[in-house]
Amino acid sequence: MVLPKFDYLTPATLEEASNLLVELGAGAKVMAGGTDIIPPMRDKVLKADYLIDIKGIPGLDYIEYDEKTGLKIGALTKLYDIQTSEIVRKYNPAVAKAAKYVASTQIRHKGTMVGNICNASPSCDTGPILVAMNAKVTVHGPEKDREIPMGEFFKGVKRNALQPGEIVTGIVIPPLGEGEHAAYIKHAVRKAMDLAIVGVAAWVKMDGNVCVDARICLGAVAITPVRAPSAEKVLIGKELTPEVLAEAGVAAMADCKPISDVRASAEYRHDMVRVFTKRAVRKALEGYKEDLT
Amino acid sequence: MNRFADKEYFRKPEDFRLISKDESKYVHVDAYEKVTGKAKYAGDFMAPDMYVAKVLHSPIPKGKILSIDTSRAEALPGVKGILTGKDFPIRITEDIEILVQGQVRMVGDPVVAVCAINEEVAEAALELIDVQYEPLTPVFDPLESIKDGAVDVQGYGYNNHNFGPICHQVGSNDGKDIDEEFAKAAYVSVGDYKTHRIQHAPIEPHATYAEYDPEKVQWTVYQSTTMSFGDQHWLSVGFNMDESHFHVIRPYVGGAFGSKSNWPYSEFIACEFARRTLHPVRFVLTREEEFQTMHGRHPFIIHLETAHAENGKVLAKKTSQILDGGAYGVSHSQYAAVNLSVIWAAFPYKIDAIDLLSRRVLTNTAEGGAMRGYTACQVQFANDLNMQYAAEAMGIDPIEFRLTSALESGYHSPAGLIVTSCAFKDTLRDAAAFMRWEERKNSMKPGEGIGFAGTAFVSGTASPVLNSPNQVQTNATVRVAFNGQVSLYSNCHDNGQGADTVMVAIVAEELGLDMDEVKLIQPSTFHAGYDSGAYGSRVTFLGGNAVRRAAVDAKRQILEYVAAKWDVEPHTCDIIDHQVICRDLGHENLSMPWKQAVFGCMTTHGGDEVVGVGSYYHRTNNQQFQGKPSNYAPSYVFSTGACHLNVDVETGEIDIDEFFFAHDCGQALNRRAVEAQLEGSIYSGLGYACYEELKLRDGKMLNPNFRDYRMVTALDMPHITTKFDYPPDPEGPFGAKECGEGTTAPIAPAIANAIHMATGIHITELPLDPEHIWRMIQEQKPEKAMAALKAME
Repeated sequence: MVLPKFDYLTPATLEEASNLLVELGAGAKVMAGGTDIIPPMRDKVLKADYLIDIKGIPGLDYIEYDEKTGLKIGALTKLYDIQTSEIVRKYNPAVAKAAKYVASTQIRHKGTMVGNICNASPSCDTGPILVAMNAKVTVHGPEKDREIPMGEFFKGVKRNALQPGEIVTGIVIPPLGEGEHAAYIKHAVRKAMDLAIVGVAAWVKMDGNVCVDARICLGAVAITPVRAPSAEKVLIGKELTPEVLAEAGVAAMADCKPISDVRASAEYRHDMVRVFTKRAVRKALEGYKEDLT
Repeated sequence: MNRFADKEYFRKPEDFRLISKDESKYVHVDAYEKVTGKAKYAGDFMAPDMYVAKVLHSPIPKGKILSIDTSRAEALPGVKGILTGKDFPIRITEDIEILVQGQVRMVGDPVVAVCAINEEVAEAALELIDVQYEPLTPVFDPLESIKDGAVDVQGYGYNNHNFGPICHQVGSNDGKDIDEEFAKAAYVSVGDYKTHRIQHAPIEPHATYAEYDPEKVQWTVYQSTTMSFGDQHWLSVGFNMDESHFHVIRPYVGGAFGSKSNWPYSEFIACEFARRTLHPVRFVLTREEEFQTMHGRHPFIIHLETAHAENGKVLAKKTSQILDGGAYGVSHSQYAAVNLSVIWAAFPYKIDAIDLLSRRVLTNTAEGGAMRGYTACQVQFANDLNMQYAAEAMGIDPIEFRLTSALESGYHSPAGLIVTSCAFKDTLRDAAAFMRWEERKNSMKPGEGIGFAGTAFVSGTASPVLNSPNQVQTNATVRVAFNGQVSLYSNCHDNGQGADTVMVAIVAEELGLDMDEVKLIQPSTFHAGYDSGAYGSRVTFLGGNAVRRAAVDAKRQILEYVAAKWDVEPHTCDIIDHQVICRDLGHENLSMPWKQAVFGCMTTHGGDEVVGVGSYYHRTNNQQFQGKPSNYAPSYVFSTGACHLNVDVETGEIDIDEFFFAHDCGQALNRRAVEAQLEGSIYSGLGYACYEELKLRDGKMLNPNFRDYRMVTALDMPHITTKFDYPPDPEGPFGAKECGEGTTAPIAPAIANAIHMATGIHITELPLDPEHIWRMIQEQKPEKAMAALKAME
C-alpha cells in the first residue's frame, strides 16, 4: 500500500513546533521516531496532512539521574538507548527492561519511550511501569509548560491528555528509595515483535518483610494501562508470602476488563493477570541481574 | 538419455571433490548478488512507461454480483484500464475464474482489476468502484458442507456439489484381510485429530512484470514462480494461444514454500493489461492478498484407527481424512492434496493392510493448496501422536514401539510404494541417543518433557494427475565451447533453496572443473529445456539427475575421443581437476589437459561443439489416484525430530532448549544448505506447531498481517543439532535425496509429544500456542500438570 501524501515539517524549536500544531489543527501530528505514525498512515488507519518532526529540536535526547528527582528521559531518547543505558539499568532496571520489551531491536533504534506512551495503545509496554513508578511527563504548551502525572496521562485507546499545541518534552521517574522495588513483565507469544497479551508492572515499598506501599499497573487488559487497587490493598501491610502474592493475583483479576481479540481471549487474559501480578511483585523483590540484556 | 543412462561414465564416489565433506571449493553461485542486493526479483523490474495493476476483492464470503459501477474510477486521471469478469471472462480450470463473473465464493475473490500509472492512482481508483452484491448463505465448516442439503459453495450446481477430489486406497500384502487384522489385534488405537490454517508467507510476495509485443504477438513475463512452464501452459490456456507466445522468465525468487507453484490471477491480469495498453505492467500482491488469496495449508479433520499386535507392531490401519479445501479446487489442481494425504497416512511404518480415505471438501473460505510438506504436516501430526498414545496405552517404550514397525529397505507397501534406501531406524536410534532417552526418561521433573516424532516423505514426485510421467520431467543441456568453457542450460527452479548452486556443482563435479568455470544460463521457458517445477521435493532428485546426465553425456563424448587416441576403453577414463586421466592398469600415466581434450574432440567432429543432453523422470503411472497401487516417488526420505522442553503450566508457554533433527537424505550435495534446510524446517515446523494461525470470522481473515500472524523470530528459535550422514540412495544424483520439505512434518508432533510428556495433556489439535496449552491444562487437569503447578508454588 502507498503512503498517502502529507507535508513534512521540521521545526527547530519547541515554540515553533507548538505554534505549528495550533495553526494546523487536527490534521497535524507530532513525530519523533515515526514507528507508530508511518505504518498506520500507510494502512489508512491514521490520517495526517502534516507531520511535525521534532527530531531537529535540540536538547531533547538525554538520560539523566539525580537523587532527588530521579531518572529523566528526553522526548527524543530512543528506546534502545534506554534499554542499554548504564544509568537506567543501575537506578531503575525495570524501566530498561520495559524499553527492551517494545517491538524489535531495529524499531527500538528509531522509536522513543515518549512516543510509545503518546501513542497510548492499551498494550503499550512502557506505560505500566511509568504509572507504577508514579512518573510524570513534562509538557511544553503554547501558553505554558506543565507536568502531567502518568496516572492521568492515558485517556483511552490512542487518546492521551495532551491539549492542542502541547508536546511532551520528557519523562521524570521518581527514584527508587530505600526499600523500594519495581518490575515489569510482559506476556506475549513471541520474544520480539509482539504485542502484550498482558503486561504487569509492580512497585512495592518494603519495611523489612512487610509491604508498606504498593502500586500495580496492568497493561493490555483495559482501554488504557490501569492500576489494580484491589491487588495493592491485599499487599499493603502484609508480609509478602507466596500466599499473599497469590491472593493479590486473584484480586487483580477484578481490577481489569480484558477483551477477546485476535491475540488472546478475555478468559486467558484474566487468568494471566492473576499469574503475572504475582510474578511481577516477586520479580520486583528478586531484582534484576543478568537478565536485562 | 533417461534413467538408463550410461552409468559407467558416472564419477565414482571415491573421486568426489565437491560432493563430499570437504567444502573448500564449494561456492554459492548467487550469494554475491543476494548479499549485495544486486539480485533482481520480479517486483524489481520497471520501466519509465510502466503501469501497475491492482484488484478489488470480494468483501463477503458468498454472494451474487448485482452490479459493478466503474464509471467514477474510469474518470480518474491516470487510470489506464479497468477489467471485470465480463470484459475478461477467463477460466483456467473447471472452477477457477481469473475475475469472478457472476458469483463470489470467498472473501478475497478478485472482482475488478484496475491498471493505472502508479500505485497511488490504482488504489484511489479501487475506492471509486461500486460493487453491489446480493449476499448468499455461506458454509464455513467442512462437516456442515458435506451434509445433505448444505448450500452449494460454488454455485455451479455440480451433482456432488461440495466435493472436490477423493482418494480411497484399500489393499493388503500377502492376502491379509483388514477386518481379520483388526479382529486379532491386541490393541486398537482410535483417534480424532484436527489441524488449523496457516499460510506460506514468503517474504517476497507473488509478483509479475509483463510486457507485450504486438508485432510478434508475444508476451515476456517476469514471474515470481517455481513452475515457469506451468505459467506458460496456463497462460496459453487462458489466452487460448499457443505456448510459444509466452516467454516466462524466472528471476530470483524470494521464497515460495509451495505458494508459487500456481498461476495467480495477478499474472493473467498483468498480461491482459499489457496487451491492451502496450505498456509494461507490474502487479505485486500485497501481504493481505498473499494471505487471503494464495492458498495456504489445508486444515484437516482426521479419524484414524490402528490395529496393533501384542508387541506393538502395526497390523492394519483405517483412516478417514477431510481436507478443508476452501472455495476452489474441484479440478485436478488439487488431486495431489488427497493423493499425498493417503500416502502419508501409512508412513513411515510397515502396514500390511490399509483402508485409507481422503476427501477434499469445499467451504466458503480461502482456498487451500500446496505448502511445504504438502499435507504431510497435518497427516503425520495425527499419525505420530496416535503412535505415541498407543505406545503409552500398551506400556511399550515409544522408541521401541516405533522401531518395531519402522519402514526398511525392500518393503513394498500395499499402496504400491517401494522403499529403496531407508535409514529410518537409524534416525530414531540417533535421536534417542542424542536425547539420552534411556537415562533421562524416568527422571524428568514435572513440566519437563522429551518428544520424538518419526515421519517420511517423497523424494521427487510422480504424476498423480497427468497422463504421462514425462510431464513431470526435467531436461538439461550442457554445452562445451571450443575453449573449454562450459554452459549449463537448466530450468531447475531456484526459489531460494539453492538449486542453482547444486546444479552447477553437479556439472563441475562430473567434468572435473571448478564451480566458477560452469556458467548457468539464467532460465526462461525460451532459453533452456523443460522443468516441471520446484514442488514435490523433485528438484535435486529429478532435476539433479537430468543435469548429471547432460554433463555425463558431454563427458562421454570427450572421453571417447581421448580414449581412441590413447587406445584404451573410454569408461576407464575420467576428468580429475582439469585433466583427462586413465584408470586402466598400465595406463595410469596418461593425461591430457581439459582444454586440449575439448578442442581435439571438436576438431575431430568436424568443428561441432560438444553438447550433452540429459533428462530424468520417475517411471510410474497415475494409478494411485484410482486407488490402485503405484510407486509414487523414485525414492523416499525418513526423519526423526526430537526436542526437550519445559512447560510453564500456569501460562501454557513452552521453552524448547534443545531440538535434534536426524534426516536420511542420502548423500548431501551441499552440506551447508542441507543443514540450513533442516534448521529452516524446524523454523517453519515450530511456526506451524506453536505460533502461526490464520483466524477467520465469517470467512474473513482477522490477522492477514505480520503483526498478528506470528511468524517465529530469531529469538524464539531453540538450539538445534542436526545429523544427516546416512547411506547414499542408489538412484539419486550422487546418492542424494530430498531435504527441506517433508522435514517440516516431524516438528509439530515432536513438540506435541514433549508437551504431552511434560504435562500429561492429551493433545489432538493444533496449534499449541500458550493459550491452547493453558486451556487444555485447565480442562483436562492432568496429574502431571497439577504436580508441576504445585511445584511452582
